[in-house]
Order: sequence, then structure tokens, then C-alpha cells
Amino acid sequence: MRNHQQYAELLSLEVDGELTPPERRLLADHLRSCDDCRRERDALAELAGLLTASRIPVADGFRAELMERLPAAGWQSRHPMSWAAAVAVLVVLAGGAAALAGSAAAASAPVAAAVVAVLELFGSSLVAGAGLLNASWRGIGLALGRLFDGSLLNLVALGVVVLGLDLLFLRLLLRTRRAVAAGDRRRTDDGG
Amino acid sequence: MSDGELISAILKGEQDKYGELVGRYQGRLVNYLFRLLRNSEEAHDLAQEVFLKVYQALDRYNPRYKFSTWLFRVARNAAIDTIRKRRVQFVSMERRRDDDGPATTWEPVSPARGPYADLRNLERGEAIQRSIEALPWEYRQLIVLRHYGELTYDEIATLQEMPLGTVKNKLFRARQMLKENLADYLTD
Repeated sequence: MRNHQQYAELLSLEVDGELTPPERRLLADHLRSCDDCRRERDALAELAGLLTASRIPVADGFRAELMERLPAAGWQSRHPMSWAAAVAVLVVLAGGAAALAGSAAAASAPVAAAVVAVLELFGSSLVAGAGLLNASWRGIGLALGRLFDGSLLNLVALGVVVLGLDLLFLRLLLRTRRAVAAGDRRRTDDGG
Repeated sequence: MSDGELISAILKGEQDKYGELVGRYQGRLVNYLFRLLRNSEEAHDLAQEVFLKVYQALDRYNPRYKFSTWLFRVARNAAIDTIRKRRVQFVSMERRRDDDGPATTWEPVSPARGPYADLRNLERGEAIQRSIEALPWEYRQLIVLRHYGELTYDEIATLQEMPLGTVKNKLFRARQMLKENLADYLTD
């Protein structure tokens, strides 16, 4: 035999449609003989109706606006379909290039000479780039040498500045790592 | 088509299907956020942000859980962040009083029209909001999730990480408190 409080709890479940069949039968039997519980049931139903009636309507165009705002999600780029267009363009371009090269070869012979010329141009660029890099480093070395001019004090000052910059960089690095770790934790929490 | 099937279709490239998923939850989500934030415009804006956030992370959806539970978890966290930011602003503005003012937008709670009916509805809408706000935070969450988010007890238990029995018990108590607070609007 249940007490009144337990029937009141069953009434709360009934409002939410969460009663099991045996509980429903038990409550129905009890309600036939209990005026208080019938009144309680009416009050709970009225309360639920009041709350339901206080819902607000969703603004017109809410969904349309949202669908327009949908960004390209990261997962879309990982989907095979998203590569299809890029691959198709690549195939078309490659086909076009092959056709052009083929027709050019048919028209004249010096394709090999053109390839050699391009390779030579590439080699010259490499040599020029290396020379420029070498000259730049020499230039920096000379400038630093003039700046300190053999002074021990200037050298110590430079050491302090370099050390300070290292510490600052280390601190920024650690802070970034902490932020990334916090972001990962949060994403894991949101991920269901 | 179930939520899970819709999500599979979206991930396979049918982006339009997300509109269908949004249609299923927009009313529940906006109302849930409205009851927590007390502001219709803010609730709509935040609901949009939540839907966008969920869309961007859709490939991380775990089908072992219900989509609704995930969606409302993201919404709850977003609402808490908003309330927290609002509190910081509130404190920084030297305790400007806004508790006594009515919420920005109150929709009529019944279709009855006319000056008296509108006034009565407005009054009743404010009474409902005050009664919900008077509940302890945990009870308030449960009532709002149940009546405005329309989540089942199982979904609420998962979302709130509570045993099912606790959800039943707390909802019962929350409802008793609400009933007392709204006694003037309920027939005897």
C-alpha cells in the first residue's frame, strides 16, 4: 500500500507521460477513490498547460537565415565528393596540356631543346640564389662586427637581449600549449 | 527518417537535410534558451550559433548518444557562457538594476485578444518567468528542459549526468514549488 506522497509522485510522472503500465493501473485504481489526488492531477495538468501556452514562436525566416549562414565545415573537405571537382579539373588540364605538347611535337622537333633550356634556367636561378644568400650572411657578419667593434660591454648587452628574447619566446610557447590543451578538453566535452 | 539517418545523409553531402534537422529542434531550442536568457532576440541569436557550431562538428557526433542530448548540451554550455559574460558586464556597470524589468519580449500565453486579455496574458507570462527564476538553478534547468526543451526523462538524465530516479524526484519537487508560486493563476 502506497502513501499519498507516492501517488503524488506518480501524478507528476503521469503529466510527463513517463508512467509504466503497472504504475498507470495502480494510479487509475487509486484515483477512483481519492478526491484529493484527482484535484492534484487537475492542478498539475493545468500547470503543464500554462507552461506550454507560454512558449514563444520561432521568428519567421529563422531556418532560412541559418541555412544561408552555414559555413564550409571542416568535415566537408574530408569527404571524397569534395575532391571530385578538383580531380576533374586536374584531369582536364593535364589532358589539355598533353594534347598541346603532342601537337607541338608533331609540328616541330625542338621540344627536347626547350626542356634543356628550362633546366638550364632553373640551374642558373639556383646558383644566383646561393650567391645572394652567401653575400647576405657575409653582410650581416660585417655589420655585427662593426657594431660591437671588439667591445666586451656591447657583446654582454647583446647576450642579455638574446637571452631575454629566448625567455619571452619560451613563455609564449608554453601559454599557447596550455590554450590548445584547454581547447581540446572543451571540444571533447562538447563532442557528446 | 531518424536524426541519425539525417546526419549520415548530411555527412554524405546532402547539406539541405540539415534544414530538416533544424526544423525538428528550432522551437524547442529557442524556447529553452529564452527561458534561461529571458530575452527573445538573444535566444534566437544564440540558437543560431548553437546550430552552426553543431553543424561544424557534425562529423564528431557519436551515434551512441541521442542528437537531442548533444544539441542541448552545446546549448546549455553556450547559455551558461552568455549568462556569465552578462554578469561580468552587470557588475562592471555598477549594479544597474534589471531584475525588476519585464523580459524584452513576452508573447501572449493564450490566443485571447483585447486590452484586458493582453494585460492578463502579459502579467501571467511574467509570473511564469518569475516563478521559474525563483527555482533553485538545478530545478530550473530540469523544468526548462522538460517543458520547453521537451526532453524525455532519459534524455535529461543523460544530459544532466543524473540518475533517472533523481530526475523524477527533482522534477516532482520543482513542479510542487511552481504550483505554489503560480497558485493565483491556477483554479482551485
